[in-house]
Amino acid sequence: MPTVTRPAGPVPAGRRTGSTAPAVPTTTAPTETPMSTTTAVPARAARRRRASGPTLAYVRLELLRTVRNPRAVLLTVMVPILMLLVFSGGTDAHDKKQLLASMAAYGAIGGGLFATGPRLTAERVSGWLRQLRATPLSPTAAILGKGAAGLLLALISSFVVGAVGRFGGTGITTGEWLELCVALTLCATVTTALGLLVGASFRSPETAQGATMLSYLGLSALGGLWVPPDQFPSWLQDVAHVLPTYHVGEVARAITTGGTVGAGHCAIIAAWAAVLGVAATVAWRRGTTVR
Amino acid sequence: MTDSPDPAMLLDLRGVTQRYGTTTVLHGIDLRVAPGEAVALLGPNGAGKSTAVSVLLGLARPASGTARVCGRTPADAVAAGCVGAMLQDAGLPDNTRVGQLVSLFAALYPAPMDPRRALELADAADLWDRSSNALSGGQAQRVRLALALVADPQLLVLDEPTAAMDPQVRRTFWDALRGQIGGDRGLLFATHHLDEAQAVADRVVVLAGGRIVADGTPAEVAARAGGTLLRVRTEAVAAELLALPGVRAAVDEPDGRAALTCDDSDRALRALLQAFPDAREIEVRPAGLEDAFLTMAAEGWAPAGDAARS
Repeated sequence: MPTVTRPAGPVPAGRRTGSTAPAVPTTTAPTETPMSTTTAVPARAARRRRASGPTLAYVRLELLRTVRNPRAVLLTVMVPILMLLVFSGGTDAHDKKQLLASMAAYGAIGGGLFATGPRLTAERVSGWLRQLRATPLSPTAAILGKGAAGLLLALISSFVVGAVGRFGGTGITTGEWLELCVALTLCATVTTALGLLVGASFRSPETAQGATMLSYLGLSALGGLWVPPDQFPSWLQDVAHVLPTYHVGEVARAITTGGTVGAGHCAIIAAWAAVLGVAATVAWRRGTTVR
Repeated sequence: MTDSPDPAMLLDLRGVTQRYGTTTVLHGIDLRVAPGEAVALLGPNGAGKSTAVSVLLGLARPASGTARVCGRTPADAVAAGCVGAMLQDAGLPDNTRVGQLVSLFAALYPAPMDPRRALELADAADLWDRSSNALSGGQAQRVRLALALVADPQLLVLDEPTAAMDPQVRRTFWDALRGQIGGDRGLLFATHHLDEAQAVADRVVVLAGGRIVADGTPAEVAARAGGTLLRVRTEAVAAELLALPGVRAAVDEPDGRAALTCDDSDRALRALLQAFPDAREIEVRPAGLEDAFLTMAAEGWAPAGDAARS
């Protein structure tokens, strides 16, 4: 006895409302709720208006969750400060400012990574993102919410580490401190994009966590955020000069030492952000395409 | 199955076939929910219930067939908030509180219910301030149920909503939900509890092996699901045994025995021993729902009248 059987017969007349509205393409219940005044033409506009509400609500919760995540905050705020204290043995004011800049950069790029990659993987694997896709929240908003969280964590990190520089022994000015916050938050778009890519790419939260840690430490060390890159052997310097972290470090050091931020550094950072952003977009598209 | 979908239906699946790789999990199913109707999608694990739910939510695109929800494509209906769903096995995110999650979902829909009311309906009112990391499996499931309820949509879709509840709580839940859904709203819920389907649904659709094997009122389906199961080893094949009095359905089982679903097992057994003296290894027990699914899958759905053979 193959295939289907009864061609789903007439609907039980049960509690069906006799005079259901005519064959107008039904949007929402024609009764109740002021929301349902949408008719064919303005429906799209109404939908767009409505769509921004869900996105805001989602982003708000994501930001709240980021601040409540002890591990991410610890890694991106406490660790840079700790390293700042450990390494700040020297007396040279210029060196101290450079070290502060590197550590602030180190914290900020970590913010972009830790708020996104491992958490997105966990939520993807657990089915939470799938549950969100069954709601009116746009799938893009679900991913961008994490991006916003990455930038927020970068901002928090550079703000706190910068405050240590402002009020501690380093002696940067308030202007430099705030400039550092803005610049590093913008720079963190690179690692945020990388984190979004990681979030789409791994099968388990553990491997995503490992990949995040590895790229964090690798990019920081090779980009010269721990040891000044001019102390590298020359072949390693060539490697460093390709990495975005080197240029983020250069931007931060220029700010704290009163130099000029080179446009070349900014261009390379922006290029990295664009490439990783496109890669992340492609990865998420592929991962969430409805088959 | 090329007739155009009915825009008055809250859900209208027609001839939906779905494959994963080379495995076909849905074989051209038709499934409808009218306004005001509560439909139970009943079937054993692996029957294709969750796949059907994925299709109607636009999370999977059928290999063939059409799906319309509230007169739109599934993706549009989801985006417009006409349909709200509880999926099976979706985790909750960490570092958040239950109340925040339910409030988030309320903010995602155009006409939500009060978040506290949704938690109350899901028997999880006490979890409002609880951290999402600190929930037991059953609590997490009730919270996910609240996430679907808070949407208060035109069509509510629940995939095994009461799996984490004990029977007493389950009954209160359905009582409360019945009060909530009336009017023009529709409910589709997947379950493998026949009693639940009977108590709540206006119509029960039985899915087995990716096919709709029964579609009728709860009473009709329950009548087919009841009876006694008689297993026997004999040279006769199922088709011959089906002719015995009191036998409603007969299937050849992989172990070489035949399984007979009987309305009157006493009569069937007497006739069996007389007609087939080689009959041995006889086992008689009340038919469970799983058995009913198997026989329904084997014989296919025929209107209740034709099915009665005794």
